[in-house]
Amino acid sequence: MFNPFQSPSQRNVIAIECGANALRMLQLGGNAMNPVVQGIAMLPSVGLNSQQAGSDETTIRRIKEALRSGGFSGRSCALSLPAKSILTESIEIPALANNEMKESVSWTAVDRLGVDRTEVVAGHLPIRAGTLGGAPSEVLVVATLRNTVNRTAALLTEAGLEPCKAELGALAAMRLAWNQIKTTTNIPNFAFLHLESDQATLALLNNSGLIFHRSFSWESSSNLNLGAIPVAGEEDESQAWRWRQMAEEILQCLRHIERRAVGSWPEFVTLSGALAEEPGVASAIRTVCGTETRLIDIENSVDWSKVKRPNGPLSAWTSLVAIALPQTTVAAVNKKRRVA
Amino acid sequence: MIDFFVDLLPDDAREIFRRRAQFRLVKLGSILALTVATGVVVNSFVELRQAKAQHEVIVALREKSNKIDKRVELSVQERTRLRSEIAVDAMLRSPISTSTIISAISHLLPDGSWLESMKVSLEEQKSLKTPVANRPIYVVLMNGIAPNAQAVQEFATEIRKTAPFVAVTVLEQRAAPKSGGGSEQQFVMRARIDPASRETEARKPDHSGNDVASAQTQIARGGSTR
Repeated sequence: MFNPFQSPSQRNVIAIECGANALRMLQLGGNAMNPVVQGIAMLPSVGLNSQQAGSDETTIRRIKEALRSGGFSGRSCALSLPAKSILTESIEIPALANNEMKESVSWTAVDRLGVDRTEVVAGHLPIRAGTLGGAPSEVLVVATLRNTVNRTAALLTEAGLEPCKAELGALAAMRLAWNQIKTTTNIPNFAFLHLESDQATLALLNNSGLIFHRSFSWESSSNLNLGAIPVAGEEDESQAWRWRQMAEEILQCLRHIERRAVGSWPEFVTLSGALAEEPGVASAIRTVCGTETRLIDIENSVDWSKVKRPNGPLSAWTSLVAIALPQTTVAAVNKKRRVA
Repeated sequence: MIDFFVDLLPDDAREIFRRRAQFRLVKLGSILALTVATGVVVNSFVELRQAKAQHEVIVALREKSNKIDKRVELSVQERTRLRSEIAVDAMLRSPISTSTIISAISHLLPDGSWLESMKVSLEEQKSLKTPVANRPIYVVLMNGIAPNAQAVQEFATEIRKTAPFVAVTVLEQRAAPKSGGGSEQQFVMRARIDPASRETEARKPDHSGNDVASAQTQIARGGSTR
């Protein structure tokens, strides 16, 4: 129920994923214990990352129509940004106070992006805590160009929305996976793989949280020979090559972590993202990395009965569900699950 | 608590949206205030118009009531006038009708006597004290012929005995030669009508069963009733 006295972060915001090829919108309703999908829409062939996006009247009109017809209410929204437009990099820096850490992270992002300090928006996640004057801290720098976010926010504003937060979609999906895993008594070492159309995000987590993060681009399907006709009875070699290449990249990351922390091999890989349910992904990872895969549970996380089920895999809506769920809701759901 | 949350929305954009939200709040507040003010103005206007209409109605009613008061006053005056007229009429009206008087007198006339003239007139009293007694008194003045003086006295005695006649006085009595020889008595007699008498008392039937109306008829012919 809409409560005007709640802050936008507490309210049921409209989660919007600004993908490269499609724009997805989702809004949750119901109470904190039983979130229900009350609004859902997908606009194919709408990408908000182009330079002309801010002046695209057609896109604005389509967004407005989708908001009207999709069962949405309110105007507060949260952005899920694609991994391609975000710089994520693990860095080691001396242990610092919180504000100094922020400044250090910002200047690191300025250095990596090569732009002015005022043009960067940056944040960080702790990976390994250091000690003052001793071992350095390892943090995950998450940064992007201010214009990238502002351009998308401006376009959504023209469509009548008011962005209240913006975050990396892969991190939001990882938060949901973490919240699902941590309901178990013993949190295992596990990997999280978020697959977007041209960018993959791999993270390793254990009971202390994030221990490794890497985002890498992988062969886009646009470079493949889509006109090739696979021989009957044989595997589509072009697709299989893509998954195998990605799995080998993952394998290298896992070996790196294994060398750094002896014996730390993930028990399973949680898959999310638009391509997580593609055939061949799970088998490639199992074959190359020797690790079983699990698909993130989106179907049971929220109630989909009030809306028409979207076309395509539900895993594509992972980031949106994670962003649309208020933080208090996640905590409440976890508490409920622990009690159960 | 691990939340894996990094907000990348720039502060300036957040500030813009915060100001926009504040502006919207101010706008909504202004619209609300404007709506309330408009409502108050409209309500005041309607109330004022109703009050004005009520005032006009009250003024009209007051004017009508003034007219009604004048009519009531006129009616009261008319009623007073009519009452006084009725009182005067009641005062002046004879307690006994003239026909009854005539029939009674003609019934009392002795044999061989008749009246040449009779006059019933009002006579105002000035010496009596009570207002009721101030009513005018009807006086009957009779001029007639009797065969002799004894018949005149007998007639006067009979009248005295008969209501409503009181204060019967023989004013004049004299002998006059009769045309066929002999003499007869001419007399003038005066009697008052008792103001307290009523019509029913005077309309008593005579012993022969003829009522006063028949006697009145006979006296009008100028003949005796016996």
